[in-house]
Amino acid sequence: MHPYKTLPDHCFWRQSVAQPPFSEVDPVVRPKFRISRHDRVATAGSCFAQHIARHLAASGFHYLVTETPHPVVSSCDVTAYGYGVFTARYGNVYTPRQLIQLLRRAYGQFVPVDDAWLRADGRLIDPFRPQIQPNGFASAGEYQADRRQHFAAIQRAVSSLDVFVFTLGLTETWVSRVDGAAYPLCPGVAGGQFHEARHAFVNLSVSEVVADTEAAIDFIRTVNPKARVILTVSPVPLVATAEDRSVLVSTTYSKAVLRVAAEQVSSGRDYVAYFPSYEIVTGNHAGGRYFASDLRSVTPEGVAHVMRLFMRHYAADEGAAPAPVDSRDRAETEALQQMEAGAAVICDEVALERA
Amino acid sequence: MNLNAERPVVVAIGNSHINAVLTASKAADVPVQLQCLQFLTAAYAPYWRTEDGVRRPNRQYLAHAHDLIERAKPVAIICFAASNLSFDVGSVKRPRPFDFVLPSRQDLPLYADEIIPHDLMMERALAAEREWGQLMAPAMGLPVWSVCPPAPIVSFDPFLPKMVHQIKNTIAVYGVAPDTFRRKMWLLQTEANRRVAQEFGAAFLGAPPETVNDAGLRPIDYAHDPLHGNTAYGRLVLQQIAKIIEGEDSHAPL
Repeated sequence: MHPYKTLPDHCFWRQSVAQPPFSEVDPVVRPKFRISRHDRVATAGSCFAQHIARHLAASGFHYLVTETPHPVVSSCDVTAYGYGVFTARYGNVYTPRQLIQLLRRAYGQFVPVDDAWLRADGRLIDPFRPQIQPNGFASAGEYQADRRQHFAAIQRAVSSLDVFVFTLGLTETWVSRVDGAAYPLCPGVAGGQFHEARHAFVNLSVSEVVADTEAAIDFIRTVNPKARVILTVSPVPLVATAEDRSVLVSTTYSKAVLRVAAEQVSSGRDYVAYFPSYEIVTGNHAGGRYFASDLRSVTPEGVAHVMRLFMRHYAADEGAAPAPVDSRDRAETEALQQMEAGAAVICDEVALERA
Repeated sequence: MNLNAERPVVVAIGNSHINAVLTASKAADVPVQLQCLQFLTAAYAPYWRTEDGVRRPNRQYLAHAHDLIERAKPVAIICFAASNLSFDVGSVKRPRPFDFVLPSRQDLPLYADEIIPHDLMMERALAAEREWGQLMAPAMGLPVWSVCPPAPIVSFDPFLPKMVHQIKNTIAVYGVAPDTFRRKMWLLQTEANRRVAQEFGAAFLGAPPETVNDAGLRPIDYAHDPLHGNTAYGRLVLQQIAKIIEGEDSHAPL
């Protein structure tokens, strides 16, 4: 007799990974908690987190969005302006350092020296969400007003969320040498200019990722003690590395660090769970089939596998919650329809006068 | 063939905003002769077809426009191709209040906490103006001016008693929007109208300066109703056009 004799199937590679059809492999053993259809679920993270956000919104969960597009522009491509991609319009948050700084900025506890990047055409780029608008901000007035509104939306999200799903994406990041502000993209890539003297490359260690992630979770729970957190690691490889080595080696380092950090942060905290989306997509069972031809993008089948298991293990077995509706939006639509109808009548009357 | 060699013929194409110049053109001292092709009724029958959810002028419109231009031999075309966007959206306080910052007028105050990106508002306005801008298609090589929609009315009060119930009720429920917001919506639409005119190779004709007061609003003297200009308004538009034709207005594009 030895300890392995009594272990369940999920502890054995052959039974749980090699034997089942690849699309049935399920590495989730027991979730720490369940999400009811009434729990407000917020998301943030890297590109892969966008998939999670989309599926959560479509799956009957109460997906929390605190920065919604106004109905007057609902016919436009509001996604291009970052609406609905995540809970608020923060764009991709690749590192936990970005996350904790975003929270501190939203609550006025951190004001980076790098305020805005002015383009030659007079438009402004937000250094901390450089792609949030296709063409930047049209004016300084708009930039400041929009940021105030964005921070208020983050505060509403933090105080009202029940579950926060955060996808750890990268360890490599660029920071300001002045105050340590972490940029989502290297300055100069999507706005601004890169200056060796002002910008520094940082490749976060396990202890740094743990510290930043814990700080972010503590921040959220200080405001909202009931908040629960699900950490995931993005399976998407680095598009490029700033280290002088193979991007493949850097990807392995980065994912290993994030995975270890997620383990350390979730261990011993009943309100922090780790969900193995990374393993589901990159595991040997998938044989690379969950990556598209660029060997980076996760295929819809891969995303579906992840979300199937997420729903199976984390969704409480309840009926669908009614989709939250902003009563003002209904009134908006009605008021606009009334004005359009009234204007049409006036136009008719003018035409009839002529006749 | 011109009906009167001394007064140049201008063809006006467009929606109900044409009426201001049409009524004004009947006066003997008006410096241009006007021939009109107007889109009538709420559905703007019979000149629209809808394809893939998009309204486009139909063949009948194009044929009528070509016939009219052939017959009238105008020196230019003026197009009243503005949507009602600034009126529909800008007139009443929004149930979900919002505002936006005009890059050219950052001094105008914000009346709501919710800010919609200017570019997104412009996208919305351009979509509305582009639909009507299609009326400029049959230009046939002639100079075309796109006429700016009238500025928002200085006050709804004189018109409220006889106002259609949809508008009267909506104003009663929500109240008239702040003047600066109405002005901003109009300036936004005006800019969209100008850009669309440019896309169609047309020049943009701004509102006659007399019809916009210091607050950016239209005095009652130039209002047929809260949306449309009256005969006095139309007269000023025709005078603008006549000046451009005669070359007196060196700033105006032709």
